[in-house]
Amino acid sequence: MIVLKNIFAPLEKLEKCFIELRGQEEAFVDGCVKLLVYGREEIDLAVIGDKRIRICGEALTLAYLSEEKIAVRGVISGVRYIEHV
Amino acid sequence: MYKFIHRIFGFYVLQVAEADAVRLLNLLTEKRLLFWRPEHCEGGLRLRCSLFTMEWIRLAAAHAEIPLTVERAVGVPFIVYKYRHRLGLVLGSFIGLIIIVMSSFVVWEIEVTGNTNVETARILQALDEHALRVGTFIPTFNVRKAELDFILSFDEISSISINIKGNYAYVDIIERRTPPPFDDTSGIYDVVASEDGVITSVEAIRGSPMFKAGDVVLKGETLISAFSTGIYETIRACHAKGSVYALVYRNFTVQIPFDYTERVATGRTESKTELSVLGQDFTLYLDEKPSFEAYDAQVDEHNVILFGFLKLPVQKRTVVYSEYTRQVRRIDEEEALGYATLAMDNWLSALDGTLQSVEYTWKRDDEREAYVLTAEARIEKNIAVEKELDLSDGIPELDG
Repeated sequence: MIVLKNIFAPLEKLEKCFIELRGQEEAFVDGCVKLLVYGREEIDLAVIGDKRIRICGEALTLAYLSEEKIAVRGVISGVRYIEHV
Repeated sequence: MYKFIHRIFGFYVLQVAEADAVRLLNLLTEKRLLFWRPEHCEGGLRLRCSLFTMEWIRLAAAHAEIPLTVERAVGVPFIVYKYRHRLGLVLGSFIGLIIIVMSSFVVWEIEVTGNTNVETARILQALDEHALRVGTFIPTFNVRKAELDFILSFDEISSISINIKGNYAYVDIIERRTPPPFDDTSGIYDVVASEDGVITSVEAIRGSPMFKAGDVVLKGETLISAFSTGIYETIRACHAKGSVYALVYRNFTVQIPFDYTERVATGRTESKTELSVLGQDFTLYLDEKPSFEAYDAQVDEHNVILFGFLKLPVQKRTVVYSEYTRQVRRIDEEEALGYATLAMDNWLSALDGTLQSVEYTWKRDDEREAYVLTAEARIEKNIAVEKELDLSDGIPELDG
């Protein structure tokens, strides 16, 4: 069976969520499914694997949002997993 | 950079309630509708979207029953829409834009370099005759042809180079070096006196001098003869040449009437202004003549410069007319002498020779009701002129 693939799509489908912190000002999350909470001090995301993560901090804003990726800017104090979505 | 692009193409600032914020963000992400700068504000969440995606966002939000508020619209399209009924403004802006674009294709200024003896005004006038002037359309201007035509028509210039850089035409010329005057030795010529005088010096280059310093000559007399006698009584003829300086006299008379008419300025002035834009003249007046009967005119012409450094292809020509009236008043002898002396000085400065001495008399003429100054100036000048001889009646007799 020939599977037609989008040539611009990544070669491998992400199986887990990938979180990248750049200093204390930026956080990148690859594997995001949905935005759950969007506040100034916390942002909750539903990620791949039925997990939920919370990014805490101050003056948090969304710098980038797409179907699978999200970038958060602000003064980040922590990133943690909380119970399942 | 993106800020600039967004302002050009236009964007909306939307506001949504806090409770619906997350839902809206997920909805826009799912539908791949572009938005940016989601930030918290009083009352909810504020975000921005482009002019092109606004309708899609509105429809998606309406479908999901999310109330959206448009805070404001920013960008050039909205400004244009705001002035959509101001046709004059739009038309004027469009015409201005056309003028700016078109003016980049014409010559704004011509700079001439390399000339020392030939006036720049003459060169510019000659260039004007060969299609190079302020306002010349650059794309159709044939530089080589203009250079060639100019050289062929202007004898005093031996080389010309025209370079057009942007809107400036740089003209560099090399003046022709005048060769020394050709010494024509053909023909048989005498040197004769152009007027009466007392000879001061004789310099005979060719021919036989007939007079010496101190001699009095009359107009037409031969000063240097073309004929000379050789040792064997042979007569040789040549093209006589030389300089003969003599003292000659000039007379001058001026009358200054007792009742002297003079100009008195009234203080009233009028000015007429004319603009020349890229070679096209635009007059800013209806009647070119002032309302005065008698006036003096002073013309001022200069380029328009913006902010002290930006030179525009606009020349402003202003003529200021100053009214005066003629008044007659009685003048005394001293004042009359002043006027007469001034007139005499002007006459002396225009004489065609080197001034040696001047004598004048001054008298009051009651019959003519005027003061009269009579002057006689003695000047030294070259009175030698060449005259071709007609030998059809034979060789003239030579004086011993």
